[in-house]
Amino acid sequence: MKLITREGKLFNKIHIFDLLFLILVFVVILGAVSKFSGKNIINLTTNTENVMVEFTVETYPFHEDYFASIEVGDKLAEDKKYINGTVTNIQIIDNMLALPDNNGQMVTASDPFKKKALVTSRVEMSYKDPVYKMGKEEMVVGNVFFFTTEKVKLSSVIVDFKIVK
Amino acid sequence: MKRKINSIDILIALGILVLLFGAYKYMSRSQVDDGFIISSDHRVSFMVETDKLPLGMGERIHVGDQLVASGRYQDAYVTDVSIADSKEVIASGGAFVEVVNPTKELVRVTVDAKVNKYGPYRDLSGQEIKAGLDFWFKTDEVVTLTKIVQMVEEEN
Repeated sequence: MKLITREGKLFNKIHIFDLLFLILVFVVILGAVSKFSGKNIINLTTNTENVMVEFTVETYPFHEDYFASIEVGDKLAEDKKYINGTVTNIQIIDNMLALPDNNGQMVTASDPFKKKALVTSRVEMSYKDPVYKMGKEEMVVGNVFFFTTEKVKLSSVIVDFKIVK
Repeated sequence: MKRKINSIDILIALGILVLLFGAYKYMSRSQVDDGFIISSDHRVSFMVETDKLPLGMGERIHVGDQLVASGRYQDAYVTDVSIADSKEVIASGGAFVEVVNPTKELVRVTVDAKVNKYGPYRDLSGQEIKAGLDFWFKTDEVVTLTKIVQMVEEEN
């Protein structure tokens, strides 16, 4: 049996253009599902559950004015999407510095200009063993995280993470 | 002659129907729900700061200056300018001491601008506006890389 017949049929069963069109349709459908579901295709075919999580980030040091745009109740966001979660607590803390003085002794004290913020949020995020994800970001203590709301996008580190239910 | 329907043709027709249905649902989706607002006429006021300008250059920024981006004036105006000492901290005699760096100055500028808003995202001529992000501040006299300090005011 010929691979492609004179009429252009593969194994005398399906026309080569029909096959190409079917593949194109399949790819377009997969692409659309992947884009608009906000998940990747693997997540759609395996067990992903939503869990309520409370996590805290510690921002990098900034002048205190930078934290004026964060308020309890602010919705979290990522790019052009809202995330299903809100800010529940904000605490401004000292930024500790250690500098050598003119006698060669290390001096440790709080930075007079910059502070850090501990921001706690409660968020519904996806869990697929063993990874917790909020939007595209993997949520694990120690991860660098862009804390984002409508008004701020501050570099921070995740310092606490617990399942609420 | 009896016409035979090819099963592949049926699959292709179904595929086209699915695509058309998907396209219809996408085009007719609601864009304004649950507080999700899309607007190209949204006004915000935000403050930026920099200590990267050469000494004295901050005086070239004036209230009323119009911002420039992409080779044209934007609907964005300077509403406030302040120039302060650039302070640093050093350790001396076992304690921290605040000192003024005489080679720098801290310039803070407040801008009132019309921005594009897409849900939680807003941009001014392609630059995202959020506290903590870098922002290229440009007028017809000065350009410098700044950091957005805070959102001062925003229309609802």
